[in-house]
Amino acid sequence: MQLLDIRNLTVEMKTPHGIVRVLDKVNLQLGKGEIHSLVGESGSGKSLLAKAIVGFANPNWEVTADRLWWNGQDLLAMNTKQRRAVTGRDMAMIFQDPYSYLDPNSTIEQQIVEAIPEGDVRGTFMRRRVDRKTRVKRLLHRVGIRDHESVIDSYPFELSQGVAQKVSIAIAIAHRPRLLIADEPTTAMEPSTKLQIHRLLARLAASQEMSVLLISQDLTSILPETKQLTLLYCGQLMETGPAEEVINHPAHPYTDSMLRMSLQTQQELPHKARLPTLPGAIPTLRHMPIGCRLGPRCPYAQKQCVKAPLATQKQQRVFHCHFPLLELES
Amino acid sequence: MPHINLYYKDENPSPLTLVWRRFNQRLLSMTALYILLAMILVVIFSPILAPYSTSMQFADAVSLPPSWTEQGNIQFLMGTDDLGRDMLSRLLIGSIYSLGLPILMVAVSSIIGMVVGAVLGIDRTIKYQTFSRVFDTLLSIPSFLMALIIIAILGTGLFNVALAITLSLIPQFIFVTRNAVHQEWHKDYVTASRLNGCSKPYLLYRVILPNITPILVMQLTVSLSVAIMDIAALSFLGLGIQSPTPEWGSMLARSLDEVYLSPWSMVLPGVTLFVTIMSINIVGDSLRRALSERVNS
Amino acid sequence: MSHLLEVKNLGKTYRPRKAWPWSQKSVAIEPISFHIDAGETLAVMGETGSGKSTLAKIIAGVDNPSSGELWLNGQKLHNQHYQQRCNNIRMIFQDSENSLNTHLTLRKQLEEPLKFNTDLTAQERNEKVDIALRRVGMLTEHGEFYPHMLSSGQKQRVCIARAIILEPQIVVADEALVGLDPSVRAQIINLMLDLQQDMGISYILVTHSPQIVKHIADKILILYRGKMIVFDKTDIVLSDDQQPYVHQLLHDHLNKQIKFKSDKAKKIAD
Repeated sequence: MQLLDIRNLTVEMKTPHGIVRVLDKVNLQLGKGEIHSLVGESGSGKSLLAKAIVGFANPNWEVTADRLWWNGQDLLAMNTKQRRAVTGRDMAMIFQDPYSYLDPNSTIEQQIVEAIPEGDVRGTFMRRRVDRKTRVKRLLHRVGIRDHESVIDSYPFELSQGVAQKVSIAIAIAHRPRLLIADEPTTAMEPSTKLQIHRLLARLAASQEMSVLLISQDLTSILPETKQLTLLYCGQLMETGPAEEVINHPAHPYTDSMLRMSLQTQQELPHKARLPTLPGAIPTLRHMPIGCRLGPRCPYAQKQCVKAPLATQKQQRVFHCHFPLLELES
Repeated sequence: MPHINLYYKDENPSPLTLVWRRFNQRLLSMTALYILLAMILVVIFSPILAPYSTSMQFADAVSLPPSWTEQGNIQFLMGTDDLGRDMLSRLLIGSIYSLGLPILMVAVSSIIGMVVGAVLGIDRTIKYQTFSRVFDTLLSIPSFLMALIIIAILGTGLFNVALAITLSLIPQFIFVTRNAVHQEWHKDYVTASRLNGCSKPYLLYRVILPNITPILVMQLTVSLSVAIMDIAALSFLGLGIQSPTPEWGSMLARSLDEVYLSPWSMVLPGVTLFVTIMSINIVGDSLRRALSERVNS
Repeated sequence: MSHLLEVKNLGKTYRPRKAWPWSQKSVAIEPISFHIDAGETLAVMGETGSGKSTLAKIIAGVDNPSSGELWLNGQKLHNQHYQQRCNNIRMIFQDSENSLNTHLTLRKQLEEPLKFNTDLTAQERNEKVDIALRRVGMLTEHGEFYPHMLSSGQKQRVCIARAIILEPQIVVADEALVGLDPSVRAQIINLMLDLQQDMGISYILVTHSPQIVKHIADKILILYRGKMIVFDKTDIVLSDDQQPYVHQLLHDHLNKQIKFKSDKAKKIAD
């Protein structure tokens, strides 16, 4: 059974210019211990999807879904209190900027202690104190901070970006969540730090039986361990499927161009040659095209594209395109 | 004729227009703004509006209640005080001292404070920093207390009171402007303009000023209500504008003696003062709210 | 023949905050010398805190060097002499959101450098702004826009327009490609390459992306804790992997690439 099962999730946002559909019938399945990468450029609604999963409420949004199941329970049928209990017990989230996520006025130890569930430590007052200390150390070791002594008493601003992000991961996994949502945890980081955080997330997913939903801007900065890959563009699902297949044989023009745009895949490109890229800019909320929202920028677009394409399924892969790049054997 | 928009046109409002639109949406803030504007009109036209002279005493109409009560007389719309002077005329003329004068004082102190503050905000040399700290120490004294001290030295009187309050308001303006300018100075867009070779006056006036206008306008509203309170309080204590001059605070002080006989002589100036300060505060608060909404969106 | 920009023994020291006047200053950049020729791209690399941003700021004139000199075309550049500098060296900032003035229209912001550094009339300035906007792939109507109406990619384009409007010889870009969406980043890289070809601009590019460095840089300068440890042509630096630090910065990430083969050979429109 899937741990997280989302079918046709739609989020509509009230703006001064009318109601805008910021997420349009998005599907997402996530299994136990799986790493799922969610890739999309800004405005694709990827962070919004994460917020919808953890139940972040905003009076301007309306969230509807055919199915929003967590571990067999219907999240949309719960009231706020029940939902919060489930989210608080089973999910955790980390963000792009660890410094704004950590409390600048308390030490790392205080912040991690706060995140350890009360039920985990038992015994007398002194016992509990010692127990908490060892737990903090163990958590820091687990996120790859070997030099715990110097980190424990520091304040967030004294830490480097990479270490701060590791601490925020330690806080997130303190209550042993079953799903960790990482919202662009490595954007604007140096490549070597980025690599460390990626390795850490992959290791945690493997050893802790924790699923990871990794949200990322760039198709080439996803984890090599990623099992499933989902691409969003302007709130529409473009393509989803096993990561390796999607990257090696992209079916959707968007996936294809995302890969081509990256310098990482263009190793043979001559020095200072122009990069292939999609023309135009990402449309704003007010000017969403009808039909397939990639339409005006898509090199393969034709007349049919003013109608939103239906899902095409091929084995485990699903894509929404009238003119897929993949040969469909009928 | 209804306004019909035939063509789809992308409008591109400036950030200040956006703030005004948000401000415009709230009924309360607009009401407060209209009350404030009406008050200012009254200040300007009060000599024409006032039916009688403020010192004219009507011997046959002493302590007459307002006209809407049974004993009232339509000749004296808001009644008369214990000397038989017309309350309405006194309130209208009093607005010059209670609202007009504070506006003038805030204008003078804001100009001085903003100029000094801007200079201190840009120049970080030791000489200017010493000035800065001196003004910071002045800030630790409450403005009312400082006005009291200045009056104690100069003596009472209209001009001295105005001078005292003006001087006591300046440190706040310096503080706010200096911090705002200093904060903006290190932002990238100012650095970019600096690299464009812009002169310092241009940087201050065209680049930084539009970005700190909201903060300054808020400080203006706060200072205005403080100035009104201060001048009323000083007059109430008998230190400010002296008795025959119809200032709201001194009117309140006079009415203390016969509050049981003619309560209107206390209620009317009190309510006017209350409404004035209230509307100024609401305008300032709504402005702050409109600005923070802009930042959030 | 003299080089376009020569940096001679440039150093920068800071006095730490709250320190005594006589205590030792901390060194941000130890005296370094290098040079760039016209039409070249120099990539400055290094870890966080290696002083690469400081170096960019000194060259652009935001900061003053503690020691050393900058020579442009055989002329000495003076500190705080913005007019001399901004006709020749311009800067693009990392955060395009904050480097535009929110209360001015784009036209007014682009006019600013012209106003202070040229004797053009208002109409000539307008024409120049139009040309600059078109050159970076925007419409002249965008001139009446305020920055909050633009997407992040468009803002970065405006920043580039502001940098090139005085037709400088050198553009310093401090992490200007970080945090942009992939499609926007590719567009901006193309734009920068086009401008280099058309106008012969030299770039000093501060970045930590090895892929970008490999693609567009002619020379690489690597800083390590304020010391210059490598300054050479790109292909030489890339072929030599003796130094562990260089290896960590460049080679580790370049070797790890995604194998990708598309079934269809259709080309995406540029």
